[in-house]
Amino acid sequence: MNGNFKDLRLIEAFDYIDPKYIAEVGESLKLRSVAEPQSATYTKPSPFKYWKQYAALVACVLLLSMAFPVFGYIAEVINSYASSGTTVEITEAETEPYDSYVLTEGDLAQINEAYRKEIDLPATATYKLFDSVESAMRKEKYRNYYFGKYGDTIVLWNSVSIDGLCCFELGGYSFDFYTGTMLFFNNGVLYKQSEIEEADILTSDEIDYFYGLYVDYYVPFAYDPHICPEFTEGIELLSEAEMRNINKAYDTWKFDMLYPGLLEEFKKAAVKNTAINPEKEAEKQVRASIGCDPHRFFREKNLEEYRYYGKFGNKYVLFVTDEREFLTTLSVAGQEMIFTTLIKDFVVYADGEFTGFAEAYERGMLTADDVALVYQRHLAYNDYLDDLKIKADDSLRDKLIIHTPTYKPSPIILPEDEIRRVVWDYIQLKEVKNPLEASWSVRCYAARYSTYAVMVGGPFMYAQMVRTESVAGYTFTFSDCQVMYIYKDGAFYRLEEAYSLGIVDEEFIGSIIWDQTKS
Amino acid sequence: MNDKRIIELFFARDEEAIKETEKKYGKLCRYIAQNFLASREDAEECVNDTWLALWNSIPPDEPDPLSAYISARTKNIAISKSRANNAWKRGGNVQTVSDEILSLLSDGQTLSEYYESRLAGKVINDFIEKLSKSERKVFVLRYWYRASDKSIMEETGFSQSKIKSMLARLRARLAKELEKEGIIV
Repeated sequence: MNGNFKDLRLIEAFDYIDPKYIAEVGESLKLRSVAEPQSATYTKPSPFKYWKQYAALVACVLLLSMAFPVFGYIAEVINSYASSGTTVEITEAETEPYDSYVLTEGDLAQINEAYRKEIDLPATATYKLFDSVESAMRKEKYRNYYFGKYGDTIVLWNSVSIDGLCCFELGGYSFDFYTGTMLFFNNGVLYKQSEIEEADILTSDEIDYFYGLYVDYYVPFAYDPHICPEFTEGIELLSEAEMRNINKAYDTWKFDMLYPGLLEEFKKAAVKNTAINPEKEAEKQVRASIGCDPHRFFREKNLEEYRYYGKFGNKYVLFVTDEREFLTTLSVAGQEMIFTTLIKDFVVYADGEFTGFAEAYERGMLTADDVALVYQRHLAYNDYLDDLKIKADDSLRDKLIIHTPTYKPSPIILPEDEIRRVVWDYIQLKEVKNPLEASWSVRCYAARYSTYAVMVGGPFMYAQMVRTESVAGYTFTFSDCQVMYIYKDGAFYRLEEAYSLGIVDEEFIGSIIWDQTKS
Repeated sequence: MNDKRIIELFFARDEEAIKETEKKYGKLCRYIAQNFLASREDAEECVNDTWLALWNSIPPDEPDPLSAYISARTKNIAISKSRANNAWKRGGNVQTVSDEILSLLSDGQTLSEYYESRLAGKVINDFIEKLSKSERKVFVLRYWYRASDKSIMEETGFSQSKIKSMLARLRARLAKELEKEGIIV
């Protein structure tokens, strides 16, 4: 008896699957993909028409039953149907698209309220986990993932409510989210990922469906270092309290960085006059200069991301990739210009303070071994990203994360399809390897038919220096990160180039809504 | 029309029986045939052969459940056709599924000297009995209906990666059961 013969018999064993399971599955099939007969009219088969085939079939089965025991079994199976008197109950297969349920305002109000209680905010607080039904139902990286409603249980993931690493096991599956909180809302109670297995409110079929959505929607976008085993090894998870403290301190730090000395100034004033609330006074002053509440602006953007590199004693090393654009001001030759900037840096948090990475080492907060470990993790993360490089195919275009800036520096709002087209062409131009990593925006400053003067936001928005461009007698002042392009028919041109090629005329240049002087 | 009435028509030798069977189970039969046969014409011929086989076997057979009986008939005819056409050698889904089944035997493992397909079938049925409804659907679709990943995706709504991982886990669990029962040694 050779190995192959044994192998074949193992395959045969699967033909012994009980007819009741075959019927159960067969009758549950939707069979959408089954090709219909080519002829639309049905031809009634005559038993005599197929006598040749029939004779051939009988001969074939007889021969094969000698060669393969399974064909002998076929006859037995067929006979067993005739003799069997049992009736198999056929039930409908579960096929509900659980994520087709649309959240209502009522659901959202209950979820927000449950979350407010969960994080122990006072009843007067107006904090909302989700601002609108639309935002709660998004499936986008760094924002929200809506995973559907299963019976009475609504499943959502929120990136903003940071809860350390959001990794958990459920129903035999491993879910690995990069930060955020997985929320299971059931009858007024909010269960977190750590509680869901014990809560036992999802059936195995529901968990299967939920896992399918996780694989389909989250995983392809999750450039998540914490999925990379070389990165996660030895990293101590952060508690919710720790993350909350870091968030709070980070908000203050950002504010101080954008408006240096402002808070300090009011703190000093508060020592003399206790009626002064330094934070509120600082905010008021910023609001007066930029025309909006900076904290509200921060909260609305909600694109914050920490990459947590580990805890060393009481020091936490974080890579801050703040992809949201901050409004800030720059005074140039008496002109105050509002522009955007972006923060991307290693920082060390300890005792309520943030310190630069290099400075932390110089001050002895981190040892050389700590730095080496961070470096090692960083390399592992980069390797991980390399492995995940996505080829720029057309399907990617629809997955780009687009946000439409509605604040002052984007006076013309383009339709989303048009924004997506501009971003897509820009990605090709810049050969961006991981376009899904960024949240893209297009700020449009002039438009005529399908020609636009645009700045495309993405991972390149550093503001360091000031420069000017003179075109058709107009002088524009930009920071070095602010590159204005003329976009037409899928191509980008610098202002001067577009003007010299005749793509835009003087009138178009003059219509660009930007600080400019005419000579 | 319910199955009982269809069988009555067969017993009455009324050719409407074929028409009603086609109406109710035509898609299922085509689905099975297409899983085994690459050519659409072959699949169509297989379905027509199934109607002929039913016409000749009912009576005396009085199958219950009818759907499983028809499925088994279609599958067997499709297997015969695919072997006759050498479809096995052309790779495709049937070969892939067979390879997956054979992967239950890891390096150095073999089937027991006293191996019997029927006994192995019983172990497989006991294993299926313990599965969740969705696992059972995926497992039976793959290993009895020989369905492709794409087809299982369409039928279950699961992603391809989920199906692959689910099947891999199920195979690993089944291999353990077969080892425990002495089928694989």
